[in-house]
Amino acid sequence: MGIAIEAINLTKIYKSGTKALDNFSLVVPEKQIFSILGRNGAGKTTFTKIVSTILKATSGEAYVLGFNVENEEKEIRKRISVVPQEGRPFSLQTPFEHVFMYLVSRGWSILDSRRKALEVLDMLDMKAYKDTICGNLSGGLRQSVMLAMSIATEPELLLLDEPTIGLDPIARAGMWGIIQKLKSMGTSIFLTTHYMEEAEMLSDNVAIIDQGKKIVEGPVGEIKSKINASTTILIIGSVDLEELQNYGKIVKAGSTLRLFTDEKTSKEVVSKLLSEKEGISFSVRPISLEDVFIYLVGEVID
Amino acid sequence: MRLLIKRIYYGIRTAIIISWFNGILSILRSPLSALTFFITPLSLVFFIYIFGGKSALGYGLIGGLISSMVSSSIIVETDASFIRIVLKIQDMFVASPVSPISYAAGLALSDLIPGLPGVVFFIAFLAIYNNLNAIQIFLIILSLVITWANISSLGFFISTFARDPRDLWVYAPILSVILGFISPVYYPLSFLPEWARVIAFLSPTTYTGEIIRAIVGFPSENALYLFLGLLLYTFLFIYLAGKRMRWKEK
Repeated sequence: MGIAIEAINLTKIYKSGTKALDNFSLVVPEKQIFSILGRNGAGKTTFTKIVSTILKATSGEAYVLGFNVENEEKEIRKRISVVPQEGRPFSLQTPFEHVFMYLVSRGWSILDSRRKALEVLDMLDMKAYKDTICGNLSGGLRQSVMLAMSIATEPELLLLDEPTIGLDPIARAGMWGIIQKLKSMGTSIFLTTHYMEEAEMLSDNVAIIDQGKKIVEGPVGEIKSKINASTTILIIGSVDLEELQNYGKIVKAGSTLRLFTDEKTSKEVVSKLLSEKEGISFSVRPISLEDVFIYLVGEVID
Repeated sequence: MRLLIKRIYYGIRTAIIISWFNGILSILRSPLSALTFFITPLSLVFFIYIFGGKSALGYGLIGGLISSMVSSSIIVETDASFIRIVLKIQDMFVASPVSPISYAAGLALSDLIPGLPGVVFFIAFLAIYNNLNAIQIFLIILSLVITWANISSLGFFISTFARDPRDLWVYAPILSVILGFISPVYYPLSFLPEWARVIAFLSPTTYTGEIIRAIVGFPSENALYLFLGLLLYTFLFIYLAGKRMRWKEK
């Protein structure tokens, strides 16, 4: 399998002095869904902009579909399409007009643009809204317009920067279906998100990034197995941390504590928590990608 | 050579489709937007006529014409910033084969479209009122086209400084007043004291005003030098806009 994106020691320091990427290296295989996870400000959008040829890196190298982002951007731009984070369509124009205009501006013929725009809007279940001005569409449908513009170009690589941000759960699930369909059609998809279940549900491979550095990379199952725990106990309330540490690793995320342990030990902890004073609430569940994320980037209590 | 012709063809096509999308569709769905570029110059011409009578109307019409053109050109500053900062659709164009020149030309054309009814009205009024011939009308249109390129480039250049949505509505209204009203467009340059004329020449619309007044037959500075000055200014703004336009961010 080929490589869609290869980044080697990418560093990006903005004029303000903020270091958004710090010697960041990554390999994204072709024809897969690859997700990059991280908190707000972790460097996800900066990375996406660099590989989309929108932003210059301070140092390091990056290749997209085999082409260098610095001096072969024209070749890259023919083959990719981007949905920017929190991008919005024009309010007075319709979904059909957006897709049609974008295709013609990219060099498609009028006839092909018309045909393709209708085909893509149909594929996204938007045919009923094709002639409705975007100002009258819901947030989910507006986001679909941005996606429609991008996928209509038949890109080899589609870069989606937080494509489901602000969408309700049903609209988000609809977007997941579309992304999976695109993958089945052979498109390489690079996705940034901070929704863990989204990455877990969709991705063949994920990378977790924090403060511009890659923390871990690989298939979801493999990443989960990298932490020495099978069960998470989420605890809210005042507990004896020293005692709890005997049962596993504790990580603080906001006001919630997460105890990472195994299934057998978790039963002991549960009976102990049940016997504790009131004011503690807790839940037990198998390790999820979100837990792995918190485990890797959260505040560890030693 | 064939490749160059192909590039130019696709560049023009892109500019036209963007101007259809952002200009024609917008004015069709919000026709009153055309009035916003037109209403202020028209009311000023009205007051000039009321207070100055017929002798001042000719100057007023030239001022109204240039003001309308300035308003519908400088607005590209707001539009370019809005598409880049708020809609973020500029990123989709950057990460595509679309060239920055076609994109900029498309946006500038699209912003001119809502202003065109006003411009056409003033040209027609001016032509009838001053009994202009075809050559004079052609020269006026040529000066206006150069002014459009000039002010649009200035608008793009200024838009590159906008970082936040709060910056969007700041620069264009200020520039519109300076270039379209305070500069000698409604009145001849000679009305200003000597020292103020030097300052007035910093505004590109001073050149347009004097050129059009010369074409119409009013007393004016040497039109050829003014025309060269306007061209030089236009090339400078195009250069600055091209240099600063944040196509690939640094």
